[in-house]
Amino acid sequence: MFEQTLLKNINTENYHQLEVYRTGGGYAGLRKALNEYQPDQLIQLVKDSQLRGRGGAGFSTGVKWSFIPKDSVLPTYLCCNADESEPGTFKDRLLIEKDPHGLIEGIAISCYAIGAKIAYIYIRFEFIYGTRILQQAIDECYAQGLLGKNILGSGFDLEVIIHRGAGAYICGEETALLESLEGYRGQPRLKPPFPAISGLYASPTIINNVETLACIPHIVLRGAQWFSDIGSPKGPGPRLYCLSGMINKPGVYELPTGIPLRELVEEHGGGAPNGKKIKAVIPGGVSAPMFAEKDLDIAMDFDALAAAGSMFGSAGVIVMDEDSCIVKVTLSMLEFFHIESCGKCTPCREGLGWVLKLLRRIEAGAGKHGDAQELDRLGEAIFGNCFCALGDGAIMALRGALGNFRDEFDYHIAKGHCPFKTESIVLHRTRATG
Amino acid sequence: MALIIIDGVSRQVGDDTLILNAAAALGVEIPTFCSHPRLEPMASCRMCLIEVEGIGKLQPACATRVTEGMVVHTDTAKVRETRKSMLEMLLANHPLDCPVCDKAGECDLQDHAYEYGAPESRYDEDKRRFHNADLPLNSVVIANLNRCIQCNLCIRYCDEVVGAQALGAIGIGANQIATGFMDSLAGCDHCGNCIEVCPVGALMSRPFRYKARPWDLKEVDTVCPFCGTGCQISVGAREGELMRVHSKCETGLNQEALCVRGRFGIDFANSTEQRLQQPLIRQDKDLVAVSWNKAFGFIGEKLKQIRRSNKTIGGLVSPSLTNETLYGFQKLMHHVFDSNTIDSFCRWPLAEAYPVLEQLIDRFYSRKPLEELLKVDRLLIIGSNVTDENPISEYLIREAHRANRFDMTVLSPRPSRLDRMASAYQRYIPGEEPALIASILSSLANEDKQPPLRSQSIAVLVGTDLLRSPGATHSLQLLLEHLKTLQTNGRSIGLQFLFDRCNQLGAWDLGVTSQCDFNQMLSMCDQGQMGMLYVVGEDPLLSCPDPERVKRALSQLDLLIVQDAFASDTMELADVVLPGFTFAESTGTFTNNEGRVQRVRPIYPPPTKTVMNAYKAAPTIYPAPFRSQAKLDVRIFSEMALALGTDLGLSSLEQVFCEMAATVPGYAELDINDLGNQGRFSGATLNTPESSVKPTTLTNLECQLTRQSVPDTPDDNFYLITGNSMFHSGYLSEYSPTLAEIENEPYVELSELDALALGPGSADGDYVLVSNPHHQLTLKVKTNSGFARGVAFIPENFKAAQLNRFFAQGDYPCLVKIRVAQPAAVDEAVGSAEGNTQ
Amino acid sequence: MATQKLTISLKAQINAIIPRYVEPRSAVMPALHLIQDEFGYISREAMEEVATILGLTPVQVYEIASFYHQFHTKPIGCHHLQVCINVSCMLLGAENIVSQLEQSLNIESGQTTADGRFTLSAVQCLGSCDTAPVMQINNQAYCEHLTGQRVEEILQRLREAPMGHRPEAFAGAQKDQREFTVAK
Repeated sequence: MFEQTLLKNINTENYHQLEVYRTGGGYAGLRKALNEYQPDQLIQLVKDSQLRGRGGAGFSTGVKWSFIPKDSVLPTYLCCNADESEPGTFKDRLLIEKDPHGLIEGIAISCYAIGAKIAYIYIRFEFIYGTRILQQAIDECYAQGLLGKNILGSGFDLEVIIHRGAGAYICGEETALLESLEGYRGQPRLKPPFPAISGLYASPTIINNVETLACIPHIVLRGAQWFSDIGSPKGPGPRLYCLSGMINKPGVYELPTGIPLRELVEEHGGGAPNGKKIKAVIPGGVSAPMFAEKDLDIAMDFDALAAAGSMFGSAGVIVMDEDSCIVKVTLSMLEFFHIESCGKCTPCREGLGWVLKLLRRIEAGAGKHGDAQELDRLGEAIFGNCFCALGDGAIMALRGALGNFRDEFDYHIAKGHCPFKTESIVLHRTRATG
Repeated sequence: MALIIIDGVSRQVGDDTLILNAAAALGVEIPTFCSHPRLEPMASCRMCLIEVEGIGKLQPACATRVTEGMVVHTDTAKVRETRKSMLEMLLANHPLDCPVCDKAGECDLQDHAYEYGAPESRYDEDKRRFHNADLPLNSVVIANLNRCIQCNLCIRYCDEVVGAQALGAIGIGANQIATGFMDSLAGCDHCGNCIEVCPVGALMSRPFRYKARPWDLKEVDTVCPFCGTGCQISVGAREGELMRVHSKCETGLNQEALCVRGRFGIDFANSTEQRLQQPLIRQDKDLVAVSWNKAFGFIGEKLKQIRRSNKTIGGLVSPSLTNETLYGFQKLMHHVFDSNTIDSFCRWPLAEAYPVLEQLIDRFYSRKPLEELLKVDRLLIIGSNVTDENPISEYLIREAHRANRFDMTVLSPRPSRLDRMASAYQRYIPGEEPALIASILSSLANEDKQPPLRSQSIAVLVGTDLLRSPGATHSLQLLLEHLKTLQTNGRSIGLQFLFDRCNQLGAWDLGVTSQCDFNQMLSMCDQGQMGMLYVVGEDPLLSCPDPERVKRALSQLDLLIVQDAFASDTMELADVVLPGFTFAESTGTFTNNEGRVQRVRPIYPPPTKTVMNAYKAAPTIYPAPFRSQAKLDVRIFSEMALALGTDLGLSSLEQVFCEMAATVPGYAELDINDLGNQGRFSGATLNTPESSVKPTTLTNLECQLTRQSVPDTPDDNFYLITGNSMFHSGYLSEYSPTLAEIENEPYVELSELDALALGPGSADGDYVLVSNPHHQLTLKVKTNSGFARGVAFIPENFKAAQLNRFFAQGDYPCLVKIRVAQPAAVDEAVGSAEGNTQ
Repeated sequence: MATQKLTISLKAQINAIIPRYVEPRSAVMPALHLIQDEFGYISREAMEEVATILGLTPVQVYEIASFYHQFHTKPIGCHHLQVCINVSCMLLGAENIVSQLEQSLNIESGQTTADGRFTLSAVQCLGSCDTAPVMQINNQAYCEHLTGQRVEEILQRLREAPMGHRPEAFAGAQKDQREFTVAK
């Protein structure tokens, strides 16, 4: 029987307050880590737990930590990636607002493991409330000796500093996040060197997602075996699934990795509202190609989803029902990727703009014969040739739609209108600029 | 070394070589837009994607380093298709207005589209448009951002090479544009390197705008005359008119980079207004035009009288003239006037310093590329705002610092961009150098006591400001002694000067110095011992301290010959005026600060037909802007000698050069027709036996400050210093219409806090009155937070300002008072500045 | 348009941020946040002053101010209505919300009302997809589960609210303590 871990206390009143958090056993993980573990042992523990990053790429956290050079004369940094911006994803905000100490404890243990004395939390600008909660929590920790000098008498020092973003999806990409933190435009860096070798201020740096870090105290307290026994063997642990879109019970669900997508949306999410049928589901944020209803019997597992041509990503699950127009959903996704393209590389900057213009005309009923093939061709030209994963993600999203619902595109082009009841409203609204 | 295979050809290349460079070494071209040899790879245009066996995705050749056994394919169907796609995407929003684009013909986008692109585009939507009319960013750069392909070369070059950081990427994504702050580059260096590196027609030169097609230009490669760095320039002209100056990647130490003076200042050559057109002699107080023969006859007559009176004959020649001119002048002075009293430096006295200088040069001068010299652990820069004085040398220092990460100490009266990179920098007031040199170099020597040595190899760059200082001799002696000690202790030492005049090292190499400097010549004039002075290309009345004294002294002469291309202040006192060529018509060689001997070629044909045949053979591009009787300096010397009964035997450029090379040991190996596009390095000159310099002991040299004391509380007393601004150098640059538009009036630069202390009306752009008992000027204020308190700087190049009137001989820096200017004075100053532009 | 001369206190706050980072340049975003909080947008003079404080050139600050969507280099309305139009919100009718606001305010999205009270923006995912459709006002409150009626109520309250740049001035839509939908 799966036992909630990350969200166990999420509805406990005032759980964001240190006192309440400690009453529930909070910071025992940090104490245990500092008292019973050498940093190397902690890295091994996290490796053994087989924890994989919850931000999107799903890389092994313990392996990432072990890339930090042992003999570096430079300081090591931890950056907590709290720039949650993948459409359909809202789990990190929940953790930050409801359980900030769980995150801070995870950060403190992780810093101890990798030898970092400074941690930056790069938090999404729009999360003004979460930022306030988190800052209060950090202040409480300083006051109680849980951060700052000589934490819990262990001799371990740590500063935790919040750095607010300013509205740029790309800053969730780890090297763009570092650029942004250094005071540059948030554009991705060339890799290699990887951040673990040369990251923030050209020093060894680990960037971990909020949910990833929130898992750490639990792993320390309950052991690697406990963690790796949960869910999928190759990517175990509890996972926060975000359900949204045309679904009866949207929200954040903590469930093991590996549960079938159908079970997630039909049983936990209660299916589509008003007795409608589900048409398609995006499994891991908009960068993850959508599945048609017939393919929902897939395990929510890093490897299974990848094998099926999609990805686990941020576990942002968006449901479309039978009335949802896939062309419009695709247009919405591509509007997003185009607006958020940082402009660095040609295929993402120019190619996505081109794709978008084709989608806009198809959606508006002005598509030309051959436009769908043109989308295929542009996808071919863009995919795999971009500087970072953003452009590839956009094309994966496009291909997911084109692959599963080509008939809808063909209908729009052939008939010049949408087969669904949605009103034809031009979608590309703009943001106040300047 | 790594063995790699590119398109089936294998080769050993150095570890970590970029695939792009490895391919180039194999003769395989990989197209790029965002890659530049002087910049860090960005890998953003994706044009250079190639296949590497074993890696699924295509890799950017510009940023991927080779590994042992790597197999690369640059010409597969997939690579070709990707290139086509990238071009199609770049062209989708490009306006394709090639017929009216200045870049057409030398545009990377055109060239790559021709070579690798698809024959037609499938893009049928509206194109992105940032603006309708082109956007002037400053007086030399104009932007058409609709053409921009966002390679960021301009921004990166401005940051990584120039160090100005004036350009930025504004906006995000497809809406990003490369521009200055608030679409203005008014405050930037105006170097135009952004124009040069732009692969398309997004950033363009305003002076060159719509003037010519690149393929219609005839180009002449020569050397920039504006400072001692010695950049190679390619001057392009169409139908007899100078169109633009740029530089090629493959020529010269500057590798395409130029500063504002080099790129935009050469149009001084078009100036005809002040050009001297025929020989003049003084008859009854007036200068009247005569023939060359009459002028030579006049000199002959005077010479007889002077010889009878047994008075001395002296010569002064500009260090901005070619080696051949300098050599010819020297030969003329020796053989015709029996004189050894020649100097190539009139701005400040160096007689005492010459022996030390010679030893420093003989012993420590590194005649090699600056970037080679800078492969050291430690760099000491003394006495230069390198950013303004020698901009391209500054670029090279910045790049070498990034590559070699040496410890850099900068000592300079003025701030520069190098301060930011320096481990330590020190503002000082001229006169304090000896103490600073002694302290820094002795602390280096003391490192010996605590091995390992942090500074095994040391480079020293000495700027013009050190020579300008009253403590110059003293400083140079200290430098010499300390460097000897460091060398004895096993350090490798390299030294170069950062001269502001383009052939100063050449002048010294040729020995155009004597025991008697120009200042002493003036004293001899004062005492009635000097009978004749021959001044070539210099204007001492303008460029020497205390012009009243210069005037008084020169008035004592029996014969003053002034030879120049342009009218000068000193001409007023001359008995004979001889019209020479400008840089633009000259031919020969310059020796730059590195000791590199480079070919100077005429941009314009000489303005007369009476040239020596050999000079005629030089490639020239168009008819002269005007006709005159002016002649090449060497030819004047030659003809004058003949008229006075001596054959100097200087009949062709080759002959002059050969003779010179035979006389100057360091030049013996050089051949004027084989200097190549990088120049050739001269060798050590070794013309001073070491024993001629009196050894000095360090103890009695240290800490002798020559300056007067400044009151501690900042009031209106300031030390006035001078030098070159970024936009001007010497007295020629003012003739350039483009440079005059960028900076057309002198200014006074001082610390922000000092300006504040002067009270209201002394902010940036306001006018203040700078005065001392000798002179006063109403000048615009420029504040600079890097300035030391109590120091004010006025650039020396503006003729009308007569800056040198502030300075008494030997009084440098001088004290001046600065006050907020009265409105009437401001009106006058503004009026005259406006007059300057017209 | 008032000049944005940075007050001594604002400069002190910016200077206090610098030590949090290894390089002063890192303080550029926090500094711009402070300025935008104070003035509602970031002016040319403010960018120049930040550049001086952090040892940057003005264009380096401008690059940052123009790259990030949430920095404004021109004045915007005192109530910035940002309606999410990304997939989840779109599926639940975000477009109707935008249209309603456009009609009600008589502006298009991206524009500001003539009285300077409202700016309307269609924005990308705000990370509250479970409560779609969502709008954020002035980077403060999330207004969730939007309906036509709720939008009208909010507009009414905002029309009555005092004008001012400080977003805190409007407390009506503030909703700090919010409940997430959490399984079991």
